[in-house]
Amino acid sequence: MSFFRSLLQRWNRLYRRSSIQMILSASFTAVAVVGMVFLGLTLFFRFSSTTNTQMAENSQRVLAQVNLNLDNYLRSMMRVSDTAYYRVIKDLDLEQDDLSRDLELLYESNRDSLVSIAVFSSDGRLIASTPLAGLKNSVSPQWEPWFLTAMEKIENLHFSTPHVQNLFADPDYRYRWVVSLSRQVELTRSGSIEGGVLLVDMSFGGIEQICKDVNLSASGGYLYLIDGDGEIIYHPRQQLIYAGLQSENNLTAAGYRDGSHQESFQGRNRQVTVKTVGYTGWKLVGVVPMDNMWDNYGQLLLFFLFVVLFSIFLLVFVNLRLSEWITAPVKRLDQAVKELEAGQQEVDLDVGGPHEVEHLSHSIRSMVSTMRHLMDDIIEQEEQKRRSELDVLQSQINPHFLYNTLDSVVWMTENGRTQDAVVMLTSLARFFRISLSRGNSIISIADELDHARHYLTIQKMRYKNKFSAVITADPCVETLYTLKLIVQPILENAIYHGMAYADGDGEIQIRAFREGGDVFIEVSDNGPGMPEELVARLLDTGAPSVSGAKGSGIGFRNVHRRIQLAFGASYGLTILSEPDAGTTVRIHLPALDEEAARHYRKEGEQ
Amino acid sequence: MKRKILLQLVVPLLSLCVLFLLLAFDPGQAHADEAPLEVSILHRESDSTLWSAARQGMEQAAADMGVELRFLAPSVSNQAEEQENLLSREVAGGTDAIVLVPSDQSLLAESVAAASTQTVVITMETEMADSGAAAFVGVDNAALGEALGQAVLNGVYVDGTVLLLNSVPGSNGISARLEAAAQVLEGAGRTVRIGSPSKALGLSEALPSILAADPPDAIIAFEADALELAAAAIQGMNPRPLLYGMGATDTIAAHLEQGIITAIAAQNEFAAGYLAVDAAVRAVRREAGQDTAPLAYTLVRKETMYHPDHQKLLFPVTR
Amino acid sequence: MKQRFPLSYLLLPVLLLALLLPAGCGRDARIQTVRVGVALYQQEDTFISTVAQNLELLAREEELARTIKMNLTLADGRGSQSTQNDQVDRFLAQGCDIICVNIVDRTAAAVIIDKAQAADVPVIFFNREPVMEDLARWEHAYYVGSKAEQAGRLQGGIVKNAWQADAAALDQNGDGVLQYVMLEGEPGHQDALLRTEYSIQTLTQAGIPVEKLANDTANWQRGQASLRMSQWLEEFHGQIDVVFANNDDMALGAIDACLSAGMDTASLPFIVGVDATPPALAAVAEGTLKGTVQNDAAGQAEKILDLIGAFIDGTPVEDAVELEDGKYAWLPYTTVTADNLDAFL
Repeated sequence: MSFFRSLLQRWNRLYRRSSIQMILSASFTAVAVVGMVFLGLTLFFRFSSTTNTQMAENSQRVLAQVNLNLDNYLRSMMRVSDTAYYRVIKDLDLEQDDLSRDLELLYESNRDSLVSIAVFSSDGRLIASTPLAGLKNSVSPQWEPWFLTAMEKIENLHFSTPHVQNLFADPDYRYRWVVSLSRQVELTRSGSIEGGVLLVDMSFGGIEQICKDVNLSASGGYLYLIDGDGEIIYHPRQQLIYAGLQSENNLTAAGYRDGSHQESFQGRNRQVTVKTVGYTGWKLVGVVPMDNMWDNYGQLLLFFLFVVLFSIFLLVFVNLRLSEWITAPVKRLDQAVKELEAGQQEVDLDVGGPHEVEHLSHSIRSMVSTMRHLMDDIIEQEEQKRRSELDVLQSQINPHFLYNTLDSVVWMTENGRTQDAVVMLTSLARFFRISLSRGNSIISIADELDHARHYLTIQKMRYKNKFSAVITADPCVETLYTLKLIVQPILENAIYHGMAYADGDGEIQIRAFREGGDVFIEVSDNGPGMPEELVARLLDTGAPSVSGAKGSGIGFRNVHRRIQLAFGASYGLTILSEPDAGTTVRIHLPALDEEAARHYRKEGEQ
Repeated sequence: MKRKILLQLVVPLLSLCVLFLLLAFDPGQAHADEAPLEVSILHRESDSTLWSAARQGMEQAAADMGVELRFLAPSVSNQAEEQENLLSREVAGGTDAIVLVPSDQSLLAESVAAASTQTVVITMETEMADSGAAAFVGVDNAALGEALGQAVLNGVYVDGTVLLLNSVPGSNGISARLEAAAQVLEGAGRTVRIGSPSKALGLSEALPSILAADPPDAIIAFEADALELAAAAIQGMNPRPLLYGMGATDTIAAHLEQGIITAIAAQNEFAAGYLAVDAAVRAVRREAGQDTAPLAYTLVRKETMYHPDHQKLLFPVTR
Repeated sequence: MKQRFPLSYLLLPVLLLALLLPAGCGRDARIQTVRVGVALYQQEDTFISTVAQNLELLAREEELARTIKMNLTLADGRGSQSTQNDQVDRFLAQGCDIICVNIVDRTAAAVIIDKAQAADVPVIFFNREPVMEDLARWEHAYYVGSKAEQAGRLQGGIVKNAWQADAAALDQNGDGVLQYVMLEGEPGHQDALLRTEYSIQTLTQAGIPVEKLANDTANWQRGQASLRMSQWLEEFHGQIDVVFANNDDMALGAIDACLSAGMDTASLPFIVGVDATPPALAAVAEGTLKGTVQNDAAGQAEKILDLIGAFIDGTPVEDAVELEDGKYAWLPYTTVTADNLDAFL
């Protein structure tokens, strides 16, 4: 079990380490190979098993046909013997008639298959024969095996095994291989019956003709004929077997029953089919060597191999192409992202391919671009913040205001208006103290209004009470917090633009009130108002700051920008101005309690 | 990239094409079919009917092994010079193997040696391994001669004469048999005379006069042609000398049956021919085969002639 | 990265292809080989075996003359047409350039001619003549042989001359009529029929009175002829003037029968045969056989080789051999008697 687990673990590791392409190709190829091999093997085995059965059937069919032919042949020979007996010998009396004429007729009509027909008496004397008539001196027919078997069983016809005919004296010294068909016959001599033997010698060539060149299989299959005891009657390699150069499993084959058998002989497997020939007890044996079957179908096997290999090749090729097509875009995307990570700026993310990959590449591209924009935005924002803060920092100590105020104090002191000087200096000190606020950028609204008050005090004195100012604040508002130095620049602006031309009836009203989560501080004056372009320009955060030479320098725009930077675009300044009626600047802030203020403070200090 | 694809495609496709070609044209088989071996058979006998059984054996072997045979019979039997010419002609013409039945091994030694350098030479009947022949197919000639000599001893009394027919003059298997027989006979006290063809007369002409001049008690002929001649020659004689010999043609069998020939030593001619071509083919293909053992021979008499095994020996070809 | 085309990739297919090449190259170094298949009807037949031996001898000479190799393959049909058909198939399968067929069954030539035509291999029939219609099937089917009727005529001529020279010597019973017995060859054999027919016709056309005592077939065989003759001797003792035998073997068998019946050379009937085989010539020398007609075995072999030569050279066949109807190369028979015997020994 642990073996499989470790195997599985190794598999998983391998899987994780491989690229998509490798996984795809490997798995596709494996499937293709396994599939094709499986297909090929099944087909091949099915085919070869069918072939085996077919071969056995074929052998049996061929053997049946040969058997039929052989049977017909043997029967015709038997008929010759019968005719010779029943139509010739039985009808004639040896004393008076000559058998030879009729026997000659019979011989001539079967000349192709017969070597001779002969009739012998029971003591072996030749009575009649055709075509030759002279027996050899050395021959005693009565001791020949064909004679003896014929006399033994008189009711049967006897077939011998092939042998060389040893009967007639032939001046041409011809020796013929024959199969003897002998039977006992009744000879009539002067009315009395005596026994004899009719011998019909069949030429071996006839049997050879029937059994020869039988094609049992495309290569190496052959057929041979044995008698009941297993002695070979005909074998295509007969001469070699007689010469001892080859051997055959004929004795074993004699023991087989009819049908197909498997045997192993001299180290080779063969399929052996046996069929018994009627009457004689001979057996036809068909042999098909099994290994030759593979040789024969070797061509087919090669063809199978070719088909399998070709299919595998095709599949593998297609797999490779396909997986490459799928994974290449992914790889390219991967590559591009790597470059991005490495910090390259100009990365080509335009990747084509399957629809998901395209979508991915589009998304990545837009995300990258968004990211870049956002980063740019952030950078800008930071820049702006820094700039504003720098401005704020700068303006915290405004030299011009200081000089002018101190000049006024000097003038006042010189003119003995020491009390006014004290008030002015005290307001200045307090003004600057709140300006600094120990470095905090978020102060309470009470402090901010104080800051404004002190400023107004100083400015009223300087402007010789040309105008008056009223600060109204809701009590709940004063405990809230705000950005510092936002009211004073407005006042500065209002005084500069609005009150400079007033004549003692200038009025500035500062109102701070809360509405839900918002805080509003309105600075209204009844000055000449501002034309629309100026309003627009003042609120245009993009334009460079207009710093008045006389003012504290922060500027209207700065306040608006700072408020927006700190709290968001929904907050900031709104100017309502009507020419000759007055101007109201509304500062919109969120309602920050101490908790919220602390939060902003922290942010600011970072 | 495109190149890579091309290679991936081209190389396997090429190999598959080759495999397909192999299938379609099957050069393995074609190769085997296209080059049948050529084997030339040089016999010393001009009358080819004397060795027809051996010839059938050779043809059977040729059919089995896919070999083409060329039979070259000389115009005159047992002439070493003509054999030499034929041999060199065959070698010049180019042949895979030569099966030679030499008429005189000493006279042919040089040609055989020259021939063995260029092609395979197998000898039958006479051994010529010293001259470079690759194999020898035949009986043990000395043993055969001895056996025939022994057989004669039973039929001829001491001091009887035995005529040995030196039908193929020169140094060859026949003469080896003759010498062995002569040794046995002389050793057992029989008188040995040797009858040879002279320059002018062939054996068939010379024999009647030899027999008339001094009729021997027995004659031994060591090959089929001489045996047939001797049988024809003694047919009319009375008393007939005993005739022994080597060979197994139909004529000889007939004479054996009639009692003109007393006993013959027979080898399976068919097998001899088959084995000769087989040895030649194996030598050409350089297959390691067992060296062909000397062929067996059997002494056959009239009484045992129709014994089933002897039938197969004497009449190997079913006709 | 520029890569040169890696040649190593081509190595594998080239190696595989190299396996195919040697198959073709091997034999070109040797001289041209002409394969001739010769199918005999029965190698036992002495005449046919003589033709075969002559073919082999002449083939060797032809080889020398043309510096080619001629491989002759002999096949014995053993009297069976189907065996011979198989042998012809084998020849064609082996790639024979020419086949020579001594056909077993005269009427079955069409099969062989068709096969030869399909393989575009010229076929030369010899000694046993196929039917004219079959030979006409293809232009490259030829016949080399002798006109059987000529043998009959010549054989008849010997008897006629002898009768006309000295009738009394022949006439055994002195009745002035030429009584004869006829030993015939294989039933249905063209030679047998024609020789039988024309030998007698020669006599009748010359106005000689003839009487047939008996005729029977002895299947070209000496032993069977001997048996017949013995029977006839018993039956027609002293009456037989002439014994016609369609071939020499049968004539010799007749002589055997007569001799074993106790006749001596002088009292033998007038026996004539056809073929002029060596034993027959010996018999003519002895005087037992009165005459024979030579069937030119060597001549047939020569004509066959001339035809083969024409095929090898590619020259038109008519230039090499005289052909009748563009197909038949006839050879003349020659009478052989004691007078001109020396020429044939």
